Amino acid sequence: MTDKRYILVVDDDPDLVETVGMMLESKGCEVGMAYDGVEGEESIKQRRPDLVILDIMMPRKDGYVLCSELKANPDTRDIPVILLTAVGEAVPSTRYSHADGMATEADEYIPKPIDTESLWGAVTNLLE
Amino acid sequence: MTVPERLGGFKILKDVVRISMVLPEDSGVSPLLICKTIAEKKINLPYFTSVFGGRAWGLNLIVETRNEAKICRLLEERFGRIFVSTPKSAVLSIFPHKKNPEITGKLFQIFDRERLEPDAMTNSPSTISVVIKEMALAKASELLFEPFSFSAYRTPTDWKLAQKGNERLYKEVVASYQEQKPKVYGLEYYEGQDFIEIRAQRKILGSVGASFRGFARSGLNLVFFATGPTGKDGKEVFAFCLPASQSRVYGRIVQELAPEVEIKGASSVTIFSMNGPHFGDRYGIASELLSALEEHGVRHLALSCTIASISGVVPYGQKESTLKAVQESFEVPSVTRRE
Repeated sequence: MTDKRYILVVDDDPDLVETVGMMLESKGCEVGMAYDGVEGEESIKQRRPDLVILDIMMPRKDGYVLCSELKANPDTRDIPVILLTAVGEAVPSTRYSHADGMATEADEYIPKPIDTESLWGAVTNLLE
Repeated sequence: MTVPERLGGFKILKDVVRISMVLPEDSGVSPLLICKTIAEKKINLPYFTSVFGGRAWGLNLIVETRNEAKICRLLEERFGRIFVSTPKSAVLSIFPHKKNPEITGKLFQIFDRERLEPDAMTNSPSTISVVIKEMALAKASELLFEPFSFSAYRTPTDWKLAQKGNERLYKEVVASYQEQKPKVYGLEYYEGQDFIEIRAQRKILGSVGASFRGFARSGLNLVFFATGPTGKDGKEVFAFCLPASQSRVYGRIVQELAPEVEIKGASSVTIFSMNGPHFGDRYGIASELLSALEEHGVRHLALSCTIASISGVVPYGQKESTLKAVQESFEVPSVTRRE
């Protein structure tokens, strides 16, 4: 990627936002940060990101709801969304299941803990 | 008029109890023993700091109020009444600090101005966490809107409205399963740092804040800081790390802005930090790390476990053993050296 892409990271774990943000900045991206779903939504309204990295379990508005809303809105449906979750396929019976995640039409679904290089691979795939 | 510093947000953890203790080196009770005892009962520690003040370890632990009686009884049975328990406490965490000591300094100064005395403080890679009495919480959270602004909340009222109905959600433990080996996103470490300790009365908080803001003006990053509990002499330990290459600069700043503060020798250290998806809701993480460090003969100078991160300070010569210990006990996808 040659141009500076703007990526929004939304997660209620500030330390994870910091880790992912530092990785993306080191790769030459511009990074926006939000710490819950409502803040993420506001941020997208203010500036359209090239891609959104979205956590699932967050206060105020969770990642499933925000992702579904983005995909249902004609203005935002083509923004690629990567969903991050601490709930992998190994834990199917929690409130936030893997199957629910697949139903949100997210473009990529990455279980935590993420390997930042794999995440970067997913980001470049979706932006190209 | 000073423009408020723009931050991401803040979180509050209520209904908690602070348990503090000072463990002399020759007492036979170590931070590991304390953490192991608590982990045996499957009790999570949302906040834990351990600071070595020369001859003793100073520990601050936060546990949920419902676990207070169980823990106090257990600790007393095993080790005697070596601790002080402070009920009705809360943890106020603001983020992100971007390693900028200006933010920590402003927080210290505003608390000092309003005579709000934090019982314990530390930072994680992104967050500054302050333990205060629950009765001071409303005042403290309103005060934050003076030096800082938050993108999601313009006023304290906005913030209060946003929290309504969410209290239970914050506490919900959705994925607290136990992995065989706890997973982390990555292990980071910083070299070329000095570990600095100040032992002083709490009333110097404003002067420490002024010094921290002085560090910011000189472009120094603050990667780690933690306080120990107040000792019998009414003094507490402020421990923090600054770049060793700037020792003259930070020494001069402290001398100018906080002449009453005496820096107790600085030692060359490595700081490590890691963030895990279940560190916030899983018990036994601190115990796991301290066991691994002990097995590898590493003696930590300071440790801070808050939110979903652990940061630690070890003597520079123990860097390799520390990284090995962490990698053996945690699932670590990458190790990164930070500047």
